[in-house]
Amino acid sequence: MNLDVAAQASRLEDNLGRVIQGKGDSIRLVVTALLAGGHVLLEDVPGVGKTTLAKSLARSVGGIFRRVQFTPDLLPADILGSAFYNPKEGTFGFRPGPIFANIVLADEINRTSPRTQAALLEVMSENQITIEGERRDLPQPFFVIATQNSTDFHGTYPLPEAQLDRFAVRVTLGYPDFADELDILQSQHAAHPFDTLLPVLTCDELRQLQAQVKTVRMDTSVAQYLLRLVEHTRADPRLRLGLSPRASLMLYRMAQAHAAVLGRDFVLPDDVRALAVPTLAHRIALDTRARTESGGGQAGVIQDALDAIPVPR
Amino acid sequence: MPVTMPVFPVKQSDAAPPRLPWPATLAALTAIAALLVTSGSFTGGNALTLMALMAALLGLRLTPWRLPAQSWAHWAARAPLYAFLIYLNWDKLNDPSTWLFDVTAVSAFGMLAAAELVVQAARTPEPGESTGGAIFLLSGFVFLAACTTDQVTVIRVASPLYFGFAALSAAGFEGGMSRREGRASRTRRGLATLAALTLGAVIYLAFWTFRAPLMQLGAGALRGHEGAESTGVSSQPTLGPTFGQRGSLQRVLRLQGDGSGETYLRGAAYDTYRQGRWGPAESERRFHPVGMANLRGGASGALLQVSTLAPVRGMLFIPLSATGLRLADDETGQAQRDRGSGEFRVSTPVPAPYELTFGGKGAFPLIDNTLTPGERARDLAVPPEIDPRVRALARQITQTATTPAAKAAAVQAFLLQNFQYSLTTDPGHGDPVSGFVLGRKAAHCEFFASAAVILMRCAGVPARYVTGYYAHESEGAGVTVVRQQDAHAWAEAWTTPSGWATVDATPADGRPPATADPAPAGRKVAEWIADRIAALRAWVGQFTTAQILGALAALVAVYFGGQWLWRRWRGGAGGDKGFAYAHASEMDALARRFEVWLARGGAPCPPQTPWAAHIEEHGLPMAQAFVAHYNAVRFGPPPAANGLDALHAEMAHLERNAATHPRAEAVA
Repeated sequence: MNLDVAAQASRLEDNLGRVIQGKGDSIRLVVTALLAGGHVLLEDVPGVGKTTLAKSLARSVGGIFRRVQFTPDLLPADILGSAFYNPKEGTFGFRPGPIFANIVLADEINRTSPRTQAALLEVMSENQITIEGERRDLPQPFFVIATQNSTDFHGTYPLPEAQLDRFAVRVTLGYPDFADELDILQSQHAAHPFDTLLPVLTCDELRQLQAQVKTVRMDTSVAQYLLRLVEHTRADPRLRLGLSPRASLMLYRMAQAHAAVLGRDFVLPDDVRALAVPTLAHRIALDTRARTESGGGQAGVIQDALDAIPVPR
Repeated sequence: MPVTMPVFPVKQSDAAPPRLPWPATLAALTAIAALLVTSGSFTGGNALTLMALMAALLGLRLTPWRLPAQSWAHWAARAPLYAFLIYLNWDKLNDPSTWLFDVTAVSAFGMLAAAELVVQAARTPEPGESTGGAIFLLSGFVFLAACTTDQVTVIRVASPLYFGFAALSAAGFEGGMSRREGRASRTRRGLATLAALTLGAVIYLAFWTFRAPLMQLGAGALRGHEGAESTGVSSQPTLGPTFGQRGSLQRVLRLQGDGSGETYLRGAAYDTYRQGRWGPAESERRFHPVGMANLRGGASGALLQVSTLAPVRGMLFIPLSATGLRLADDETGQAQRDRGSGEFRVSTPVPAPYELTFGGKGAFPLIDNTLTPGERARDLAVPPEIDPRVRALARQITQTATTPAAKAAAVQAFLLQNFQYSLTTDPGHGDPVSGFVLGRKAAHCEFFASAAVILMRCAGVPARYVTGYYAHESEGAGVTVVRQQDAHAWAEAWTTPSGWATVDATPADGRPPATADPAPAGRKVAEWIADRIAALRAWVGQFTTAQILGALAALVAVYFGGQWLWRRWRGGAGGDKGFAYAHASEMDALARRFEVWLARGGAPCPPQTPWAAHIEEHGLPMAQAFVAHYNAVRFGPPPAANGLDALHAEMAHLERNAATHPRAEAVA
């Protein structure tokens, strides 16, 4: 039952907490996204543990893990795979790329050209690849966790809106506070905690949990509340691009996963509110004037929507 | 949905409803003002109500005040307004048969539309919804109601304003450009405004140019307006330069049945000719009441039903060969007849549909087939002003004919072969008929008919002049329609022993099928629509107001009762919408109590904040159980049967312990 989801999620979080000290909220967001079947974008300044978190998550869930280091000279075939000619048999074979895995770490995703970034579009939204006209399915469960630095402008190619829209959440970690950082230093005194990390979930279990999340009940009034939030942003004059139906669907799933992680089998408006900014903020595009003016930026727009729409009682 | 606490309507706090769009508001104000001015007086209940509605609309535009979102509030606003207006206008509305477009009923409906308009404006719209559309449509109806009066000056002033605002409203012009929008956007908006105003101006000019036919169309649809066109045949035909009866496309009669092969529908016959005028006039005739028993024809005859569609001064149009007449029930006993001319009439200007029978065993013709000596003398009299050469001509024409029928045929052939038809003619100074016969040779049907009568009389055949309609236009299977332009004149000759016979000496190109303008397709469509409305009106007129209101009340009851039953059924089965939906009012009440509890404790919860976050923020741990339980019932799967009882108990517990509420203590 749903206690399963809450219990398993808690185990997963604890496991991750051994490696990343003190970032309980971010870890919970990542786990929620994993259970909702969405992909995660970790965006933060260098050195706060993005890649470590991604690797730990991959280690905690059994299954195939592949890492792609995005460099400016990366080609789409390096990610997806390519066809090659086998002279012995006289046929074309397919060499699968690193994308054929359960968990894919796309490190420094904004350092590669848009041509390569576009290779991920179909992969992330439809869990399939079309190469040489042939459709190949990816393994299930399939989870992409990408990292990027927010502050670097040199040598980066900002992700296009279409790609950003395919990430369920954008998670920031931030600097740890004093006690947590001390903890980090001391725990890595002899060896890195990551080295002794063990899996706590198998792929099959994860698939089951994801299926269970989909059965969480959402009342019509909560769904309407969710949609009113989304519609409010579409009418906002500060935005060049509002929220898409994919955004509302993603928020729907994330709210279900959040409720399941908290041990409930129904969604509350509180879940929607808690997830609104992480799930929606990275998808909207401010127009030039709004970007330069103060007002909270993307998160501010979402927060304004939250403050404007009354909650169903 | 957000619950506000006190009973009276309060301002929805932070989520303000959208303002009324000003073009729609101004259009509505213009329409209501037009209705006010055309209603005639500025005192009296209706006028004061309209002024109050205008003030209310202005207030709604300037302030964000709205009615609460629950539907009871809308009905609480709507019901007294409607009741008051219906009470004021009861005399205009108490006869359902007038509802379909009588002028007074339409203006009363206009008042109701104005009231509904203000209620719609006062409504709290759903998020993203604007009430501008409803306001715009209702204002259109109010404006139409104002236009049904004849006060053209008001219409002339109000229409450009109304069309202008309506065009802006339809263009979605909400007004109020924010400073943030760039110059391109302002240009675009300016162009859109210009385009909308131009379109409005074009529509207004078209409306003004075609106002005459539009008003005629409207007058045709509305009852209580006198038709602009005159119908019927004259009471005393006079030979003049043009055919006096030549008329319009207005429909006068409709014939249905298998006797509809009859083409000559006679109205009245005239036998005295004096200086270009046929008499006796209608007022000089002697009408006697007719016993209906005398009018029943043979049982097995062909049937023709005649419906009168326009005022004809009560005249019944009956072909020569008709043998029986059956009138509508409430006109039986009203029929009068002038035996001499064969004219039948009833007292109502537009007779109800009547039935004619033709043939049948043992039937007597309606138009008398006897000739008294006095009548014979009159029908043979050639007035002294007729030129003697006409008499000689008549003898010459009929010298080879022996029987009266043959003589009549000869006269008819003579006229048909030697004369041309013309709508206009110069009657000359002397006697018009003599002039026509001896010299003119091109005139209209009145001349031909008069000449035929005079020539036949000169030849010794009793003859008389007849006016009526010539039926030729088919409207469908077995249905013939007669328009005013089908009015015609012809002669009747006494050709014993058969009695009277129709002698039409007008050339074929002078008879109505050739001279009648074909009705344009648009007119035919309009007539079809008018027929459907008249049928609907007749159907509605069968019922009394009480019956109609009873039926409406029953429908409303069925609708709401059905909804309630449906909700109960679905709720009982734990339907998709869940327990909370089925018990919405109880949940609402609980929610309201909780919010009151919070407010009393000094921590009112804003509508955007969920309770759980709010009580955590304000440190109210004792409410946690209630909130968690409420959320589970409200948003979760259906609870056990006594789910709500536990909630009530918890709420009561909270209220009892309000005195120990930490915030209350702090406030107190």
